Amino acid sequence: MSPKRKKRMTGARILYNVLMEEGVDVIFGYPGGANLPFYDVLCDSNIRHILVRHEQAAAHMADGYARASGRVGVCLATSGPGATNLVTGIATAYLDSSPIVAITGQVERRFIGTDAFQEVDIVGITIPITKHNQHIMTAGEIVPAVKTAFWLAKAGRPGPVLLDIPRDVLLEEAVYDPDVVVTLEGYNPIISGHSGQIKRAAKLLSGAKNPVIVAGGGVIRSGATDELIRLSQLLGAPVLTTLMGKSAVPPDYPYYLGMIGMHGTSRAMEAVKRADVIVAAGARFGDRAVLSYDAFEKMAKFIQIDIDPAEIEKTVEVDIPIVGDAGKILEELNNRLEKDHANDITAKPPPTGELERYEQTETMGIPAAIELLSKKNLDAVVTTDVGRHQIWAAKYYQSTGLDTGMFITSGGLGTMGFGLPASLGAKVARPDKRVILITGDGSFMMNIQELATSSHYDLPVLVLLMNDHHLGMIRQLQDAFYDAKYMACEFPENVDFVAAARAMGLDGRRVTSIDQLDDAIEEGLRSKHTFVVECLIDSQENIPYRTYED
Amino acid sequence: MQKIISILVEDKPGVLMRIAGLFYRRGFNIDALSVGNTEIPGKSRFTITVNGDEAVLEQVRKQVQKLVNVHRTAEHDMDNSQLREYALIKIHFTEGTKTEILHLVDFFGGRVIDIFEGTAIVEIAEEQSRIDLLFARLEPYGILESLRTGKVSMFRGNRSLNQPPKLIKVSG
Repeated sequence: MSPKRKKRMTGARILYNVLMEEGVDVIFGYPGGANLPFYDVLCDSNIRHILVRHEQAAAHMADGYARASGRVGVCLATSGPGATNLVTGIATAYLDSSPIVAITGQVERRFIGTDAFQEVDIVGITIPITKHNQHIMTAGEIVPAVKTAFWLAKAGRPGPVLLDIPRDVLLEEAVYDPDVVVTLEGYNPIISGHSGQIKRAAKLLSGAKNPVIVAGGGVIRSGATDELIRLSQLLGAPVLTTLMGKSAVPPDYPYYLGMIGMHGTSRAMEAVKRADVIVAAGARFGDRAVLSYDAFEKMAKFIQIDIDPAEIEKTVEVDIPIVGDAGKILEELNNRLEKDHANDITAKPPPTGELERYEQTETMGIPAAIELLSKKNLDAVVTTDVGRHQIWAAKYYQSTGLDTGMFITSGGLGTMGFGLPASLGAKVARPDKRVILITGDGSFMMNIQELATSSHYDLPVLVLLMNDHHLGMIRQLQDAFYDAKYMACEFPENVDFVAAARAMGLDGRRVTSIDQLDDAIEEGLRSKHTFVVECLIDSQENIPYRTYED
Repeated sequence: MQKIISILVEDKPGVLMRIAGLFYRRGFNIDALSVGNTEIPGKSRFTITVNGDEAVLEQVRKQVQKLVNVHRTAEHDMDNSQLREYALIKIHFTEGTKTEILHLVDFFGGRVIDIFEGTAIVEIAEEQSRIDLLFARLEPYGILESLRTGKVSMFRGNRSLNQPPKLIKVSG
């Protein structure tokens, strides 16, 4: 609070200082004319800068960093194409509720609206894919805008916030006051659940014959795992997850039955069908999980817990909605169950049987490779790309070393090319942890240039690349819905991914049969650098489809 | 079904775009929209009239409520609020029709605000049904031009959208 802290300085210096105040230790960025004044300050600074090879990767890295650390990830791009290249990454973070702050340079104020060189209305473009965004039109606005952005990114349901700063705002001087009080009027997230609703939920659950719990990404964002497990044990209720909820409970938790939805496990789907009460915690009843809204609604009574009031009954009618933080609500619900209903409930024993595993492990198929990796029970953060490998990984990567929230995947937007940069961001966040990327040949190619970033900063990741020379998910869709007429889903065998890794200062090994795979993974685990295990996949096995109707 | 939603917002550039975008995304066509200042400096109030599925509309209202620049939203109906609309109607008159028109306008609570070159401009601030009726009655005389502002609304009694703000401290 000392007046000494108030000093005049440039906007760029103010931005740097307030980012330091917010505890930012790393920025993923790419320079350009409009943000160079800030780069001038970043030189010789205490904030680490990771120079990406494409701005999209900067946003994914910030996202991966945020998911692996629980902190706000920061990415930085210049105006125009730099800013538009962030868009896919921002949308990815938005759909998966990941807290990032994106800072874009903008042309000088006098040029705004004139279609100046590298000018684009990035605030207008990102309105639908950010929690909030704003232009910063004077250097004096930088402190409140940045403080608000970091608070908003994490408050309530997390998400991306974008700040757009014209070049001359970074150059003009203003008084830097880090102690300024910043208030908001319009955004007031509800954290504690309504006690009446919690009471009703406890009553409904105490009389339930087959209650099940569906955990979504909100359980991970809220850190609600312990309370979720407590509820499951109080009731003896199976725990199922959505794709975003994977790693919300440990894979070896006895009541855990796997993923629900289009590509869920049969045990999880059976449990949903048998259920009379479904508790959805931090799960938004997305179309891939629910499949048919009409059929789903008829199955059971629903208790929906979500921090975002707009998610309540967005798709499915629920019997007891409770708005608030999943961890807080589950804690109150558990207390209520213990206090009022201790005699009504007899906890059911854990379901018998093993988690669904992949059995045919002799051929070089994607699920077989994932099963092999999973059985190694590595203590690792796992990121995936998008496609068949992603879903196989969600189904069969059940390593006991998978920590809470450490299965990092683009669930909502389904962004191919997310995996490699997200894994690098995760590695920056968790240098102590091993990071494994499970990817496919289509996705890997979409941000393959980041191998150069990996070798530049020595960010080691073990890459398990499933190269079936196909866009597997496209092929599967054409199999299922287009009479197996394949179009634009096959790649020629013209890429040597190990050679590509070598060309960017890294190494790898090509594996053509499953019995070589363990050895190659071990070599990758021993390597101090990113190592690409390129699996040449023989089979085109499709992922089984599930429904709730049969 | 028709809904009337008021939205109290920070008077900042782009707020209209943010709100309209949310209605657009869920396929709503905004029937009428009016925006203006309030007694609170820096705050504007939107009144949006929109038709459509009630559940989806409630969803959109919650999405609107999440915008940082939006401070409050509320829904109005005939029972809890006074609803008004304003219209301007330009109409031809002759010596023969002049008295009839003036009587009609007077009867519906309107007012002639301009007479020029054989035309009159009529203003009316009334409930929607009264304005609809006036339009129907004036139609035979030949309406040259008209416009309607869309509804504005205010709660009856003590209820107010513009309550004192609840500030959430972000830092400091």
